[in-house]
Amino acid sequence: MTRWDEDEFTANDLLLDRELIDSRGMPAGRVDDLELTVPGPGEPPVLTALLCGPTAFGPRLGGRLGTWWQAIGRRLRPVTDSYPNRIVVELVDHVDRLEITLLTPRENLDSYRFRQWAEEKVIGRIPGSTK
Amino acid sequence: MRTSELIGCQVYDAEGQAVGTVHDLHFRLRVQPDGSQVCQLDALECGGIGLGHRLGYGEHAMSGPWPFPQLFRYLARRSLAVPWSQVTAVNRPRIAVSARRDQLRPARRAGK
Repeated sequence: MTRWDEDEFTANDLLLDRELIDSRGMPAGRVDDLELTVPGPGEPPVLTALLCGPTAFGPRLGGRLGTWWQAIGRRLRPVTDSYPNRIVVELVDHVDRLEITLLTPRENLDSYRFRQWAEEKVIGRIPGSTK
Repeated sequence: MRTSELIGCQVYDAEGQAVGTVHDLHFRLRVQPDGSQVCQLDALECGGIGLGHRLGYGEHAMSGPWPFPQLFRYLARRSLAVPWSQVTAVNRPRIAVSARRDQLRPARRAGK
């Protein structure tokens, strides 16, 4: 069960823009948006997933810049990935004001693939980047 | 539904009067009968400006270089909390609520 630091909070306080830390303590991305689902008629929406990546951040930016941002993210993603990248709330271990800890290693997350590609193909080729 | 579909929407009360722009979502943890936890959307925080809230200056405990805390608290003083139970329609960029503006309570941090 997810451990929350507070029983009442706002999206900006605890969730949006928080760093995601995987089960091994490595950074795994950032929360760009939240998915809410209405469980039944007349019931309030509940949090079902954290959304990450440019395809999640674009709509939050809004306007033409947001559309462009989302379109770039959509074109750069692996074709097998769904978008935006979802991290279901059941994979969340602990939420505090600084970071969100996950129950899974980052390699299992769709949101990590683009980061990994950038690290291998771009950053890793910069002289001195591996030191 | 995504938070980006709610944040930034204009809220209108039962009389068609503008309440403000949604700048944050208030959640509450609930324990289900089977023992599991759900994080339920409780209210929409809306007002004329969301920057003060976004930076945490809506809370009186927040300190910072003068005059930012005073300025942002002043700008955020009219923020209102709209309970989700009173939301009647969400048609981005417009959200309709069943209550009148004067029946809405101030957003949670006010007065703390």
